[in-house]
Amino acid sequence: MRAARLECEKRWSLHRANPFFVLGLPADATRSEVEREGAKLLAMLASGIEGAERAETPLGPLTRDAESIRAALAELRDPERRLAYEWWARGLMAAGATPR
Amino acid sequence: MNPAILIWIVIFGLRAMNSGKTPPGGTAPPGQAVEGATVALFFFHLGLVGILLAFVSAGWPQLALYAWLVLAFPSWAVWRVCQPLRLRRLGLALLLLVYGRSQTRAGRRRLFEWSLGGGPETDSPEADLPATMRSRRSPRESRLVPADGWTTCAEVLKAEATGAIEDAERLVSGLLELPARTRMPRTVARIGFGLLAEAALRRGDMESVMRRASLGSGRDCRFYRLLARAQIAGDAPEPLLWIAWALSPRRIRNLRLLRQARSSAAAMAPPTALNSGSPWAAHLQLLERAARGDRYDRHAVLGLAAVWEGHLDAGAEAHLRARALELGVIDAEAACRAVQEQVFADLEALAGQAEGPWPVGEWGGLGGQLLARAEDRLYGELEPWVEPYRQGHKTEVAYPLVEWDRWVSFQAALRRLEEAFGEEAVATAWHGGLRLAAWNWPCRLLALHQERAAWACHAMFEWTAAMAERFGDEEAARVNHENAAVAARQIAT
Repeated sequence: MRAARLECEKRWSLHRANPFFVLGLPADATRSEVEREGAKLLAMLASGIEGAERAETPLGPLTRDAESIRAALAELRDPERRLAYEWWARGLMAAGATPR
Repeated sequence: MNPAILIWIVIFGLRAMNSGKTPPGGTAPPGQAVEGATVALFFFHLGLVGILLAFVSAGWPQLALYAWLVLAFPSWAVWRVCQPLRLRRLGLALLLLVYGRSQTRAGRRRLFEWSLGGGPETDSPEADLPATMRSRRSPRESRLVPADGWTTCAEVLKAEATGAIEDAERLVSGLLELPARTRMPRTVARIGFGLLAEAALRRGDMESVMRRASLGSGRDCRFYRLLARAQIAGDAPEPLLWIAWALSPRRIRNLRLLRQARSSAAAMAPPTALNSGSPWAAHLQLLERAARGDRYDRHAVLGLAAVWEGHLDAGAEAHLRARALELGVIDAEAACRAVQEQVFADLEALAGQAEGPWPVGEWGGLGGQLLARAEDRLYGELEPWVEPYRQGHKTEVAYPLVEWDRWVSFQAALRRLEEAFGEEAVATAWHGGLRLAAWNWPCRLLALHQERAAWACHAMFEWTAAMAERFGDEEAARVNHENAAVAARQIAT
Protein backbone atom coordinates (compact mmCIF):
# COMPACT_ATOMS: atom_id res chain seq x y z
CA MET A 1 0.00 0.00 0.00
CA ARG A 2 2.81 2.34 0.89
CA ALA A 3 4.54 1.47 -2.38
CA ALA A 4 1.37 2.43 -4.25
CA ARG A 5 1.27 5.72 -2.38
CA LEU A 6 4.92 6.40 -3.20
CA GLU A 7 4.16 5.71 -6.86
CA CYS A 8 1.30 8.22 -6.73
CA GLU A 9 3.56 10.72 -5.00
CA LYS A 10 6.17 10.29 -7.72
CA ARG A 11 3.61 10.75 -10.48
CA TRP A 12 2.10 13.77 -8.75
CA SER A 13 5.55 15.35 -8.44
CA LEU A 14 6.20 14.78 -12.15
CA HIS A 15 2.98 16.60 -13.05
CA ARG A 16 3.80 19.38 -10.64
CA ALA A 17 7.23 19.82 -12.19
CA ASN A 18 5.75 20.28 -15.68
CA PRO A 19 8.33 22.52 -17.45
CA PHE A 20 5.61 24.98 -18.43
CA PHE A 21 4.80 25.40 -14.73
CA VAL A 22 8.47 25.65 -13.76
CA LEU A 23 9.05 28.41 -16.31
CA GLY A 24 5.67 30.03 -15.63
CA LEU A 25 4.67 29.97 -19.29
CA PRO A 26 1.41 29.15 -21.06
CA ALA A 27 1.19 25.86 -23.00
CA ASP A 28 1.24 27.66 -26.35
CA ALA A 29 4.54 29.46 -25.71
CA THR A 30 6.82 29.36 -28.74
CA ARG A 31 10.29 27.88 -28.74
CA SER A 32 11.91 31.34 -28.61
CA GLU A 33 9.62 32.44 -25.75
CA VAL A 34 10.65 29.34 -23.80
CA GLU A 35 14.36 30.01 -24.35
CA ARG A 36 14.02 33.71 -23.48
CA GLU A 37 12.11 33.01 -20.28
CA GLY A 38 14.63 30.35 -19.27
CA ALA A 39 17.58 32.69 -19.83
CA LYS A 40 15.79 35.46 -17.92
CA LEU A 41 15.08 33.24 -14.93
CA LEU A 42 18.65 31.92 -14.86
CA ALA A 43 19.98 35.47 -14.87
CA MET A 44 17.56 36.48 -12.10
CA LEU A 45 18.62 33.50 -9.98
CA ALA A 46 22.30 34.25 -10.55
CA SER A 47 21.72 37.86 -9.47
CA GLY A 48 19.79 36.72 -6.41
CA ILE A 49 16.67 38.65 -7.39
CA GLU A 50 13.90 37.96 -4.92
CA GLY A 51 10.99 35.86 -6.16
CA ALA A 52 12.90 34.12 -8.96
CA GLU A 53 13.26 30.94 -6.93
CA ARG A 54 9.53 30.57 -6.44
CA ALA A 55 6.99 29.64 -9.12
CA GLU A 56 3.23 29.77 -8.68
CA THR A 57 1.68 26.84 -10.53
CA PRO A 58 -1.89 25.53 -10.88
CA LEU A 59 -0.79 22.69 -8.61
CA GLY A 60 0.66 24.83 -5.86
CA PRO A 61 3.86 26.81 -5.30
CA LEU A 62 7.11 25.34 -6.56
CA THR A 63 10.69 26.10 -5.60
CA ARG A 64 12.96 26.38 -8.59
CA ASP A 65 16.71 26.65 -8.98
CA ALA A 66 19.10 26.88 -11.91
CA GLU A 67 19.17 23.11 -12.24
CA SER A 68 15.39 22.72 -12.46
CA ILE A 69 15.19 25.54 -15.01
CA ARG A 70 17.88 23.96 -17.19
CA ALA A 71 16.09 20.62 -16.91
CA ALA A 72 12.80 22.25 -17.94
CA LEU A 73 14.46 23.85 -20.96
CA ALA A 74 16.00 20.54 -21.98
CA GLU A 75 12.63 18.77 -21.69
CA LEU A 76 10.88 21.33 -23.87
CA ARG A 77 13.56 21.14 -26.56
CA ASP A 78 12.52 17.52 -27.21
CA PRO A 79 9.36 17.75 -29.41
CA GLU A 80 7.94 14.40 -28.22
CA ARG A 81 8.30 15.31 -24.56
CA ARG A 82 7.03 18.83 -25.19
CA LEU A 83 3.89 17.36 -26.79
CA ALA A 84 3.03 15.46 -23.58
CA TYR A 85 3.78 18.39 -21.24
CA GLU A 86 1.85 20.73 -23.47
CA TRP A 87 -1.16 18.38 -23.52
CA TRP A 88 -1.28 18.26 -19.72
CA ALA A 89 -0.62 21.98 -19.21
CA ARG A 90 -3.20 22.96 -21.86
CA GLY A 91 -5.81 20.66 -20.30
CA LEU A 92 -5.28 22.16 -16.86
CA MET A 93 -5.31 25.73 -18.12
CA ALA A 94 -8.50 25.05 -20.08
CA ALA A 95 -10.05 23.69 -16.90
CA GLY A 96 -9.61 27.13 -15.41
CA ALA A 97 -6.77 26.23 -13.12
CA THR A 98 -4.83 29.37 -12.34
CA PRO A 99 -1.47 29.67 -10.64
CA ARG A 100 -1.81 29.78 -6.86
CA MET B 1 12.14 -16.70 62.35
CA ASN B 2 10.39 -13.51 61.29
CA PRO B 3 7.10 -14.46 59.51
CA ALA B 4 7.81 -11.86 56.75
CA ILE B 5 11.00 -13.71 55.83
CA LEU B 6 9.08 -16.94 55.60
CA ILE B 7 6.53 -15.29 53.30
CA TRP B 8 9.37 -13.99 51.09
CA ILE B 9 10.90 -17.41 50.84
CA VAL B 10 7.54 -18.95 49.92
CA ILE B 11 6.85 -16.23 47.28
CA PHE B 12 10.27 -16.62 45.68
CA GLY B 13 9.99 -20.36 45.77
CA LEU B 14 6.60 -20.29 44.03
CA ARG B 15 7.81 -17.83 41.39
CA ALA B 16 10.87 -19.90 40.69
CA MET B 17 8.71 -23.02 40.36
CA ASN B 18 6.29 -21.22 38.04
CA SER B 19 9.10 -20.21 35.73
CA GLY B 20 9.55 -23.79 34.65
CA LYS B 21 5.90 -24.48 33.92
CA THR B 22 4.99 -25.65 30.45
CA PRO B 23 2.16 -24.12 28.45
CA PRO B 24 -1.33 -25.53 29.02
CA GLY B 25 -1.71 -28.74 27.09
CA GLY B 26 1.97 -28.79 26.26
CA THR B 27 4.85 -30.95 27.29
CA ALA B 28 8.21 -30.06 28.69
CA PRO B 29 11.09 -29.95 26.21
CA PRO B 30 13.49 -32.85 26.27
CA GLY B 31 16.16 -32.92 28.95
CA GLN B 32 16.25 -31.65 32.45
CA ALA B 33 17.43 -28.13 31.65
CA VAL B 34 14.24 -26.45 32.85
CA GLU B 35 14.19 -28.31 36.15
CA GLY B 36 17.83 -27.43 36.69
CA ALA B 37 17.13 -23.76 35.99
CA THR B 38 14.19 -23.78 38.39
CA VAL B 39 16.29 -25.14 41.23
CA ALA B 40 19.06 -22.64 40.44
CA LEU B 41 16.60 -19.74 40.44
CA PHE B 42 15.11 -20.91 43.75
CA PHE B 43 18.53 -20.88 45.41
CA PHE B 44 19.36 -17.59 43.73
CA HIS B 45 16.30 -15.96 45.27
CA LEU B 46 17.02 -17.59 48.59
CA GLY B 47 20.43 -15.92 48.44
CA LEU B 48 18.75 -12.60 47.64
CA VAL B 49 16.64 -12.85 50.77
CA GLY B 50 19.83 -13.34 52.75
CA ILE B 51 21.43 -10.24 51.23
CA LEU B 52 18.35 -8.13 51.86
CA LEU B 53 18.24 -9.33 55.46
CA ALA B 54 21.82 -8.22 55.81
CA PHE B 55 20.82 -4.72 54.62
CA VAL B 56 18.00 -4.62 57.18
CA SER B 57 20.21 -5.80 60.02
CA ALA B 58 22.86 -3.21 59.00
CA GLY B 59 20.25 -0.50 59.61
CA TRP B 60 19.47 0.35 55.95
CA PRO B 61 15.82 -0.74 55.65
CA GLN B 62 15.03 1.77 52.87
CA LEU B 63 17.91 0.54 50.75
CA ALA B 64 16.70 -3.00 51.40
CA LEU B 65 13.22 -2.03 50.22
CA TYR B 66 14.48 -0.48 46.94
CA ALA B 67 16.74 -3.42 46.28
CA TRP B 68 13.88 -5.80 47.00
CA LEU B 69 11.55 -3.95 44.60
CA VAL B 70 14.08 -4.08 41.78
CA LEU B 71 15.23 -7.65 42.35
CA ALA B 72 11.80 -9.13 43.06
CA PHE B 73 10.19 -7.37 40.08
CA PRO B 74 13.00 -7.13 37.52
CA SER B 75 10.61 -7.02 34.57
CA TRP B 76 8.84 -3.97 36.01
CA ALA B 77 12.19 -2.30 36.72
CA VAL B 78 13.40 -2.95 33.17
CA TRP B 79 10.34 -1.71 31.30
CA ARG B 80 9.12 1.00 33.65
CA VAL B 81 12.40 2.42 34.91
CA CYS B 82 15.37 1.47 32.76
CA GLN B 83 13.65 1.76 29.37
CA PRO B 84 12.15 5.26 29.88
CA LEU B 85 15.36 6.49 31.51
CA ARG B 86 17.43 4.77 28.80
CA LEU B 87 19.54 2.86 31.33
CA ARG B 88 20.73 0.31 28.84
CA ARG B 89 23.34 -1.55 30.88
CA LEU B 90 21.26 -1.76 34.03
CA GLY B 91 18.26 -2.86 31.99
CA LEU B 92 20.24 -5.60 30.27
CA ALA B 93 21.60 -6.77 33.62
CA LEU B 94 18.15 -6.87 35.18
CA LEU B 95 16.78 -8.77 32.19
CA LEU B 96 18.99 -11.64 33.29
CA LEU B 97 16.88 -11.90 36.44
CA VAL B 98 13.58 -12.17 34.57
CA TYR B 99 12.33 -15.73 34.41
CA GLY B 100 12.08 -17.57 31.13
CA ARG B 101 13.91 -19.88 28.79
CA SER B 102 16.97 -18.67 26.96
CA GLN B 103 14.90 -18.25 23.81
CA THR B 104 12.44 -15.81 25.37
CA ARG B 105 15.28 -14.05 27.19
CA ALA B 106 16.94 -13.39 23.83
CA GLY B 107 13.67 -11.97 22.49
CA ARG B 108 13.25 -9.68 25.50
CA ARG B 109 16.79 -8.49 25.13
CA ARG B 110 16.27 -7.65 21.45
CA LEU B 111 13.08 -5.77 22.20
CA PHE B 112 14.72 -3.82 25.01
CA GLU B 113 17.70 -2.88 22.87
CA TRP B 114 15.61 -1.81 19.89
CA SER B 115 13.27 0.14 22.15
CA LEU B 116 16.34 2.26 22.92
CA GLY B 117 17.01 2.78 19.26
CA GLY B 118 19.42 0.05 18.37
CA GLY B 119 20.71 -3.42 19.04
CA PRO B 120 24.18 -4.80 18.72
CA GLU B 121 23.82 -4.78 14.93
CA THR B 122 23.23 -1.04 14.61
CA ASP B 123 26.87 -0.40 13.95
CA SER B 124 26.85 -2.74 11.00
CA PRO B 125 26.82 -0.90 7.66
CA GLU B 126 24.23 -3.35 6.38
CA ALA B 127 21.82 -2.91 9.28
CA ASP B 128 18.77 -1.55 7.54
CA LEU B 129 15.70 -3.54 6.54
CA PRO B 130 14.12 -6.78 7.76
CA ALA B 131 14.04 -7.82 4.11
CA THR B 132 17.81 -7.73 4.10
CA MET B 133 18.11 -9.84 7.23
CA ARG B 134 19.27 -12.71 5.11
CA SER B 135 22.44 -11.03 3.98
CA ARG B 136 23.07 -9.09 7.17
CA ARG B 137 23.22 -11.79 9.77
CA SER B 138 25.70 -14.53 10.04
CA PRO B 139 23.97 -17.88 9.57
CA ARG B 140 24.66 -18.90 13.16
CA GLU B 141 23.24 -15.66 14.61
CA SER B 142 20.14 -15.84 12.47
CA ARG B 143 19.48 -19.41 13.41
CA LEU B 144 19.58 -18.42 17.05
CA VAL B 145 16.90 -15.76 16.66
CA PRO B 146 13.48 -17.32 17.17
CA ALA B 147 10.29 -16.03 15.58
CA ASP B 148 7.89 -15.05 18.34
CA GLY B 149 6.04 -12.06 19.78
CA TRP B 150 9.19 -10.57 21.32
CA THR B 151 11.37 -10.76 18.25
CA THR B 152 8.58 -9.65 15.93
CA CYS B 153 8.05 -6.51 18.04
CA ALA B 154 11.81 -5.97 18.08
CA GLU B 155 11.92 -6.28 14.28
CA VAL B 156 9.15 -3.70 13.95
CA LEU B 157 11.08 -1.25 16.15
CA LYS B 158 14.23 -1.98 14.21
CA ALA B 159 12.47 -1.29 10.90
CA GLU B 160 11.12 1.95 12.36
CA ALA B 161 14.58 2.95 13.59
CA THR B 162 16.08 2.34 10.16
CA GLY B 163 13.30 4.14 8.30
CA ALA B 164 11.84 1.01 6.71
CA ILE B 165 8.27 1.98 7.53
CA GLU B 166 6.74 -0.33 4.96
CA ASP B 167 8.48 -3.34 6.51
CA ALA B 168 7.32 -2.26 9.95
CA GLU B 169 3.72 -1.93 8.80
CA ARG B 170 3.85 -5.31 7.09
CA LEU B 171 5.04 -7.01 10.28
CA VAL B 172 2.33 -5.23 12.27
CA SER B 173 -0.35 -6.41 9.86
CA GLY B 174 0.98 -9.94 10.44
CA LEU B 175 0.38 -9.44 14.17
CA LEU B 176 -3.10 -8.12 13.46
CA GLU B 177 -3.88 -11.27 11.50
CA LEU B 178 -2.73 -13.66 14.21
CA PRO B 179 -5.31 -16.36 14.89
CA ALA B 180 -7.13 -15.94 18.20
CA ARG B 181 -5.48 -18.97 19.73
CA THR B 182 -1.92 -17.85 19.13
CA ARG B 183 -0.15 -17.23 22.40
CA MET B 184 1.20 -13.79 23.11
CA PRO B 185 3.11 -13.18 26.36
CA ARG B 186 1.42 -10.64 28.61
CA THR B 187 4.45 -8.37 28.69
CA VAL B 188 4.46 -8.24 24.89
CA ALA B 189 0.77 -7.28 24.89
CA ARG B 190 1.30 -4.60 27.53
CA ILE B 191 4.76 -3.27 26.81
CA GLY B 192 5.73 -4.45 23.33
CA PHE B 193 2.61 -3.22 21.54
CA GLY B 194 2.76 0.02 23.53
CA LEU B 195 6.28 0.58 22.20
CA LEU B 196 5.09 -0.11 18.66
CA ALA B 197 2.25 2.41 19.01
CA GLU B 198 4.67 4.95 20.39
CA ALA B 199 6.99 4.50 17.39
CA ALA B 200 4.08 5.22 15.04
CA LEU B 201 3.11 8.21 17.18
CA ARG B 202 6.58 9.65 16.76
CA ARG B 203 5.96 9.67 13.01
CA GLY B 204 2.53 11.25 13.53
CA ASP B 205 0.82 8.28 11.79
CA MET B 206 -2.30 8.11 13.93
CA GLU B 207 -3.98 5.33 11.96
CA SER B 208 -0.98 3.16 12.59
CA VAL B 209 -1.04 4.15 16.27
CA MET B 210 -4.66 3.01 16.44
CA ARG B 211 -3.88 -0.34 14.76
CA ARG B 212 -0.90 -1.06 16.98
CA ALA B 213 -2.51 0.03 20.24
CA SER B 214 -5.58 -2.06 19.44
CA LEU B 215 -3.33 -5.14 19.56
CA GLY B 216 -2.32 -4.62 23.16
CA SER B 217 -3.67 -4.04 26.61
CA GLY B 218 -2.64 -1.97 29.60
CA ARG B 219 -2.32 1.72 30.38
CA ASP B 220 0.06 2.59 27.54
CA CYS B 221 -2.10 1.07 24.84
CA ARG B 222 -5.29 2.54 26.33
CA PHE B 223 -3.82 6.04 26.21
CA TYR B 224 -2.54 5.61 22.65
CA ARG B 225 -5.89 4.21 21.47
CA LEU B 226 -7.74 7.20 22.88
CA LEU B 227 -5.20 9.66 21.51
CA ALA B 228 -5.49 8.16 18.02
CA ARG B 229 -9.27 8.15 18.25
CA ALA B 230 -9.24 11.81 19.24
CA GLN B 231 -7.05 12.66 16.25
CA ILE B 232 -8.74 10.49 13.62
CA ALA B 233 -12.42 10.60 14.49
CA GLY B 234 -12.37 13.50 16.96
CA ASP B 235 -14.90 11.72 19.14
CA ALA B 236 -12.71 10.91 22.17
CA PRO B 237 -13.83 13.08 25.09
CA GLU B 238 -11.00 15.41 26.06
CA PRO B 239 -11.33 14.76 29.83
CA LEU B 240 -11.15 11.00 29.21
CA LEU B 241 -8.02 11.51 27.14
CA TRP B 242 -6.36 13.51 29.89
CA ILE B 243 -7.38 10.93 32.51
CA ALA B 244 -5.86 8.20 30.32
CA TRP B 245 -2.71 10.31 30.03
CA ALA B 246 -2.62 10.83 33.82
CA LEU B 247 -2.92 7.06 34.34
CA SER B 248 -0.38 6.17 31.67
CA PRO B 249 3.00 5.13 33.04
CA ARG B 250 5.22 7.58 31.14
CA ARG B 251 3.43 10.85 31.59
CA ILE B 252 6.25 13.29 30.87
CA ARG B 253 7.25 11.60 27.64
CA ASN B 254 3.64 10.99 26.62
CA LEU B 255 2.87 14.67 27.04
CA ARG B 256 5.72 15.53 24.67
CA LEU B 257 4.56 12.93 22.13
CA LEU B 258 1.01 14.16 22.45
CA ARG B 259 2.09 17.72 21.63
CA GLN B 260 4.28 16.53 18.74
CA ALA B 261 1.44 14.54 17.20
CA ARG B 262 -0.90 17.49 17.42
CA SER B 263 1.55 19.93 15.87
CA SER B 264 2.36 17.56 12.98
CA ALA B 265 -1.36 17.19 12.22
CA ALA B 266 -1.76 20.96 12.16
CA ALA B 267 1.22 21.40 9.80
CA MET B 268 -0.42 19.52 6.92
CA ALA B 269 -0.92 21.64 3.80
CA PRO B 270 -4.41 22.21 2.44
CA PRO B 271 -5.37 20.26 -0.70
CA THR B 272 -5.14 21.84 -4.12
CA ALA B 273 -8.33 23.61 -5.13
CA LEU B 274 -8.73 22.75 -8.82
CA ASN B 275 -11.95 22.90 -10.77
CA SER B 276 -12.92 19.29 -11.30
CA GLY B 277 -14.95 19.95 -14.43
CA SER B 278 -12.35 18.46 -16.77
CA PRO B 279 -10.61 15.10 -16.69
CA TRP B 280 -7.22 16.83 -16.36
CA ALA B 281 -8.25 18.64 -13.21
CA ALA B 282 -10.11 15.62 -11.79
CA HIS B 283 -7.13 13.40 -12.59
CA LEU B 284 -4.62 15.60 -10.80
CA GLN B 285 -6.94 16.18 -7.88
CA LEU B 286 -7.28 12.46 -7.31
CA LEU B 287 -3.55 11.98 -7.79
CA GLU B 288 -2.85 14.63 -5.18
CA ARG B 289 -5.25 12.95 -2.76
CA ALA B 290 -3.48 9.65 -3.34
CA ALA B 291 -0.08 11.25 -2.82
CA ARG B 292 -1.28 12.77 0.44
CA GLY B 293 -2.46 9.36 1.62
CA ASP B 294 -6.16 10.30 1.61
CA ARG B 295 -8.58 7.42 1.29
CA TYR B 296 -10.78 6.89 -1.73
CA ASP B 297 -12.44 3.87 -3.28
CA ARG B 298 -12.11 2.23 -6.69
CA HIS B 299 -15.36 3.77 -7.88
CA ALA B 300 -13.53 7.10 -8.00
CA VAL B 301 -10.83 5.64 -10.26
CA LEU B 302 -13.30 3.94 -12.59
CA GLY B 303 -15.33 7.14 -12.71
CA LEU B 304 -12.22 9.04 -13.74
CA ALA B 305 -11.42 6.41 -16.39
CA ALA B 306 -14.94 6.84 -17.77
CA VAL B 307 -14.46 10.64 -17.96
CA TRP B 308 -11.18 10.14 -19.84
CA GLU B 309 -12.84 7.92 -22.47
CA GLY B 310 -14.39 10.91 -24.22
CA HIS B 311 -11.09 12.81 -24.27
CA LEU B 312 -8.94 10.01 -25.62
CA ASP B 313 -11.11 9.03 -28.56
CA ALA B 314 -10.24 9.18 -32.27
CA GLY B 315 -11.09 12.89 -32.56
CA ALA B 316 -8.84 13.85 -29.64
CA GLU B 317 -6.08 11.68 -31.04
CA ALA B 318 -6.33 13.41 -34.43
CA HIS B 319 -5.91 16.82 -32.74
CA LEU B 320 -2.91 15.56 -30.80
CA ARG B 321 -1.36 14.09 -33.92
CA ALA B 322 -1.78 17.35 -35.80
CA ARG B 323 -0.01 19.20 -32.99
CA ALA B 324 2.75 16.58 -32.99
CA LEU B 325 3.35 17.26 -36.67
CA GLU B 326 3.48 21.01 -36.00
CA LEU B 327 6.13 20.46 -33.35
CA GLY B 328 8.14 18.30 -35.73
CA VAL B 329 7.69 14.98 -33.93
CA ILE B 330 9.07 12.23 -36.17
CA ASP B 331 6.84 9.39 -34.95
CA ALA B 332 3.58 11.21 -34.18
CA GLU B 333 1.69 7.97 -33.56
CA ALA B 334 4.15 6.78 -30.94
CA ALA B 335 4.12 10.21 -29.25
CA CYS B 336 0.31 10.13 -29.05
CA ARG B 337 0.43 6.60 -27.68
CA ALA B 338 2.94 7.73 -25.02
CA VAL B 339 0.49 10.38 -23.80
CA GLN B 340 -2.31 7.81 -23.52
CA GLU B 341 0.00 5.37 -21.79
CA GLN B 342 0.90 8.04 -19.24
CA VAL B 343 -2.78 8.56 -18.46
CA PHE B 344 -3.25 4.81 -18.09
CA ALA B 345 -0.16 4.43 -15.89
CA ASP B 346 -1.46 7.20 -13.60
CA LEU B 347 -4.85 5.49 -13.42
CA GLU B 348 -3.16 2.19 -12.59
CA ALA B 349 -1.19 3.83 -9.78
CA LEU B 350 -4.39 5.41 -8.50
CA ALA B 351 -6.16 2.05 -8.61
CA GLY B 352 -3.31 0.48 -6.64
CA GLN B 353 -3.75 2.98 -3.84
CA ALA B 354 -7.58 2.85 -3.88
CA GLU B 355 -9.53 0.88 -1.30
CA GLY B 356 -12.50 -1.42 -1.44
CA PRO B 357 -13.63 -3.96 -4.00
CA TRP B 358 -13.73 -3.43 -7.73
CA PRO B 359 -17.34 -2.54 -8.55
CA VAL B 360 -19.22 -5.44 -10.11
CA GLY B 361 -20.37 -4.90 -13.68
CA GLU B 362 -19.34 -4.97 -17.29
CA TRP B 363 -16.45 -2.60 -17.71
CA GLY B 364 -15.15 -1.86 -21.15
CA GLY B 365 -12.54 0.54 -22.43
CA LEU B 366 -10.10 2.02 -19.95
CA GLY B 367 -12.04 0.73 -16.91
CA GLY B 368 -12.02 -2.84 -18.26
CA GLN B 369 -8.30 -2.64 -18.99
CA LEU B 370 -7.61 -1.36 -15.48
CA LEU B 371 -9.61 -4.15 -13.93
CA ALA B 372 -7.94 -6.88 -16.00
CA ARG B 373 -4.47 -5.48 -15.25
CA ALA B 374 -5.22 -5.30 -11.52
CA GLU B 375 -6.47 -8.89 -11.47
CA ASP B 376 -3.37 -10.15 -13.27
CA ARG B 377 -1.12 -8.19 -10.96
CA LEU B 378 -2.76 -9.42 -7.75
CA TYR B 379 -2.74 -13.09 -8.81
CA GLY B 380 0.83 -12.57 -9.98
CA GLU B 381 1.86 -11.31 -6.54
CA LEU B 382 0.98 -14.73 -5.08
CA GLU B 383 2.94 -16.71 -7.63
CA PRO B 384 6.42 -16.46 -6.05
CA TRP B 385 5.09 -18.28 -2.99
CA VAL B 386 2.75 -20.73 -4.67
CA GLU B 387 4.76 -21.78 -7.72
CA PRO B 388 7.51 -23.81 -5.97
CA TYR B 389 4.94 -25.88 -4.06
CA ARG B 390 2.71 -26.35 -7.11
CA GLN B 391 5.62 -27.72 -9.11
CA GLY B 392 6.81 -29.85 -6.21
CA HIS B 393 10.21 -28.15 -6.23
CA LYS B 394 12.41 -28.32 -3.20
CA THR B 395 11.95 -25.00 -1.42
CA GLU B 396 14.65 -23.28 0.53
CA VAL B 397 13.67 -22.63 4.14
CA ALA B 398 15.38 -19.62 5.69
CA TYR B 399 15.63 -18.64 9.35
CA PRO B 400 12.42 -18.45 11.41
CA LEU B 401 12.19 -14.67 11.56
CA VAL B 402 12.91 -14.34 7.84
CA GLU B 403 10.27 -16.96 7.05
CA TRP B 404 7.77 -15.16 9.30
CA ASP B 405 8.47 -11.92 7.44
CA ARG B 406 7.87 -13.71 4.12
CA TRP B 407 4.68 -15.32 5.45
CA VAL B 408 3.36 -11.90 6.47
CA SER B 409 4.10 -10.61 2.94
CA PHE B 410 2.26 -13.61 1.51
CA GLN B 411 -0.76 -12.89 3.72
CA ALA B 412 -0.69 -9.23 2.69
CA ALA B 413 -0.74 -10.21 -1.01
CA LEU B 414 -3.73 -12.45 -0.38
CA ARG B 415 -5.48 -9.72 1.59
CA ARG B 416 -5.05 -7.31 -1.32
CA LEU B 417 -6.56 -9.88 -3.71
CA GLU B 418 -9.53 -10.46 -1.42
CA GLU B 419 -10.13 -6.77 -0.87
CA ALA B 420 -10.16 -6.08 -4.59
CA PHE B 421 -11.92 -9.15 -5.99
CA GLY B 422 -13.66 -10.78 -3.05
CA GLU B 423 -13.83 -14.24 -1.54
CA GLU B 424 -14.36 -15.94 -4.89
CA ALA B 425 -10.91 -14.85 -6.06
CA VAL B 426 -9.34 -16.22 -2.87
CA ALA B 427 -11.21 -19.52 -3.34
CA THR B 428 -9.82 -19.72 -6.87
CA ALA B 429 -6.31 -19.06 -5.56
CA TRP B 430 -6.79 -21.59 -2.72
CA HIS B 431 -7.69 -24.42 -5.05
CA GLY B 432 -5.12 -23.26 -7.59
CA GLY B 433 -2.11 -24.00 -5.39
CA LEU B 434 -2.37 -21.69 -2.41
CA ARG B 435 -3.49 -24.63 -0.29
CA LEU B 436 -0.26 -26.50 -0.99
CA ALA B 437 1.91 -23.55 -0.08
CA ALA B 438 0.04 -22.66 3.11
CA TRP B 439 0.09 -26.29 4.28
CA ASN B 440 3.63 -27.32 3.40
CA TRP B 441 5.38 -24.10 4.32
CA PRO B 442 4.94 -24.31 8.13
CA CYS B 443 5.55 -28.09 8.04
CA ARG B 444 8.99 -27.57 6.54
CA LEU B 445 9.76 -24.64 8.79
CA LEU B 446 8.85 -26.53 11.95
CA ALA B 447 10.72 -29.63 10.86
CA LEU B 448 13.89 -27.60 10.31
CA HIS B 449 13.84 -25.12 13.21
CA GLN B 450 11.73 -26.88 15.84
CA GLU B 451 10.92 -24.75 18.88
CA ARG B 452 12.53 -21.59 17.50
CA ALA B 453 9.87 -21.53 14.80
CA ALA B 454 7.05 -23.02 16.92
CA TRP B 455 5.25 -19.76 17.66
CA ALA B 456 5.27 -18.73 13.99
CA CYS B 457 4.31 -22.22 12.80
CA HIS B 458 1.44 -22.39 15.28
CA ALA B 459 0.02 -19.14 13.85
CA MET B 460 0.62 -20.39 10.29
CA PHE B 461 -1.11 -23.73 10.87
CA GLU B 462 -4.07 -22.07 12.60
CA TRP B 463 -4.43 -19.60 9.74
CA THR B 464 -4.28 -22.41 7.17
CA ALA B 465 -6.87 -24.41 9.11
CA ALA B 466 -9.19 -21.39 9.26
CA MET B 467 -8.81 -20.85 5.50
CA ALA B 468 -9.46 -24.53 4.82
CA GLU B 469 -12.64 -24.39 6.93
CA ARG B 470 -13.72 -21.31 5.04
CA PHE B 471 -13.46 -23.08 1.69
CA GLY B 472 -14.88 -26.43 2.85
CA ASP B 473 -11.53 -28.23 2.68
CA GLU B 474 -12.15 -30.59 5.62
CA GLU B 475 -9.01 -32.67 5.35
CA ALA B 476 -6.72 -29.65 5.30
CA ALA B 477 -8.62 -28.12 8.22
CA ARG B 478 -8.33 -31.25 10.36
CA VAL B 479 -4.65 -31.91 9.68
CA ASN B 480 -3.66 -28.28 10.15
CA HIS B 481 -5.47 -28.10 13.50
CA GLU B 482 -3.47 -31.16 14.56
CA ASN B 483 -0.27 -29.58 13.30
CA ALA B 484 -1.09 -26.39 15.21
CA ALA B 485 -1.42 -28.45 18.41
CA VAL B 486 1.97 -30.03 17.75
CA ALA B 487 3.55 -26.60 17.24
CA ALA B 488 1.83 -25.24 20.36
CA ARG B 489 3.49 -27.89 22.49
CA GLN B 490 6.89 -26.61 21.41
CA ILE B 491 6.29 -22.92 22.10
CA ALA B 492 8.70 -21.62 24.72
CA THR B 493 7.19 -19.61 27.54
